[in-house]
Amino acid sequence: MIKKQIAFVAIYLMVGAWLGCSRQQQHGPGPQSAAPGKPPAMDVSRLGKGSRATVPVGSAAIKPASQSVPSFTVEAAREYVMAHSFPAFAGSKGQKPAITRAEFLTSKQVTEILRGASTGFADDQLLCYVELKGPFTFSGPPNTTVTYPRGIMIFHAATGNFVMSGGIP
Amino acid sequence: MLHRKLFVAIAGLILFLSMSSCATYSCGGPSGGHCYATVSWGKGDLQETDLRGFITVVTPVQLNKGNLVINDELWLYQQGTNTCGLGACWAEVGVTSGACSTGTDTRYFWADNTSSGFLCRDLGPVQPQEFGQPTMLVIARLINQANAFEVDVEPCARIDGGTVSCPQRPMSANSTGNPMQPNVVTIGTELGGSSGANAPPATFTENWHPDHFFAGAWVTTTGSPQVQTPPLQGSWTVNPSVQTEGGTWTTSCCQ
Repeated sequence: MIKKQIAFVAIYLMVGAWLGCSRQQQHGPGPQSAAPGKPPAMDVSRLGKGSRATVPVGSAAIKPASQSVPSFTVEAAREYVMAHSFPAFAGSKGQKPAITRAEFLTSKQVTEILRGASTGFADDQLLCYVELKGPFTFSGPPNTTVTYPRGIMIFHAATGNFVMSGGIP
Repeated sequence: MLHRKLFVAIAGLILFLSMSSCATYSCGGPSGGHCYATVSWGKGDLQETDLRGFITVVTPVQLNKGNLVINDELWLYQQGTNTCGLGACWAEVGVTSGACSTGTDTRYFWADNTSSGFLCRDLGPVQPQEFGQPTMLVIARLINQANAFEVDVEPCARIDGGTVSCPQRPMSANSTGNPMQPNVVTIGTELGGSSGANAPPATFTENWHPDHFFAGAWVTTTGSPQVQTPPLQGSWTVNPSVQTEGGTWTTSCCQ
């Protein structure tokens, strides 16, 4: 009787594992041979010469309250940041990162805070800069992370879009 | 009789657990421990003494970040240094759900870790007509400018000049203050979190690396694959070692 029960459990486990995981075990088609490669048709001579920078579009975040620029208040930016957790926060569980700075700055001023890193915007573009107390950890290529003491969230002052984020020393 | 009922209940519980365990995964959290379905090449693998850049062509697919993040992307980096914020220096570009955005939709992004810190930029949503179409991802050292790299996303464009049925709209940026001497390039999928993510198969084709004179070559070796299955899948579906345009690396998540 015991043997029968053991066999029953074993069959159940096998069926369960098959039902639950078979879709995950599917692999794509095996390697195929392909037509001989052609040389690139792209004008590779343009590589490395740079192009006019594309501004970050960002995603809808702070709802504009007026047609003017800035179209929202610093307080509205603070509220948005507190309501949307910064996933890279690596502090204690249950703890939230504190906002240490929030103000409207030109893109040029933000670039100075970022030690020369470009925002992609024209120098005179007004942005809303919010800084938080970390630590913040970011994942890179496989087996690579980096941790910074301060986190930043940057919003477009006209649209309220969330355009840029990260961590700084 | 009681034994039999108890036995059926336990067996049912085991069946439930074995099925539900596959709906979740362990791919770290915000602070790392992410899963990858990638392939990497060192500069020696590509027979380069100076790895100046890399281009791949990805087909954007609808990504669902689940409870954290999922990306299909290209990284160029310098492994083995701590010169950028006590970490490696890198640049990355691709398609994401969850990186540099609080939303859940599928977007283009680029990021870098330099002496300025880690910065992630949201380049906007993938347009409906761009899903499934070739999108060129480029990271290449800028000529005559120290510590700077060009980072491009070009939806509806291929390296080989093949016809694409949607309009091109190239997006370009520069990773400046980036002192890396790249020694590794990686393509593929990154997944962070523990549940709910989904990504249909995406392909990385036309894998190409420029040489010192910005001529260059298709990738012809399979590099070093790193695939955490489950929940990710990744494999060469067209082997680059046969004479092709850089092979086809195919990844998907949680199917």
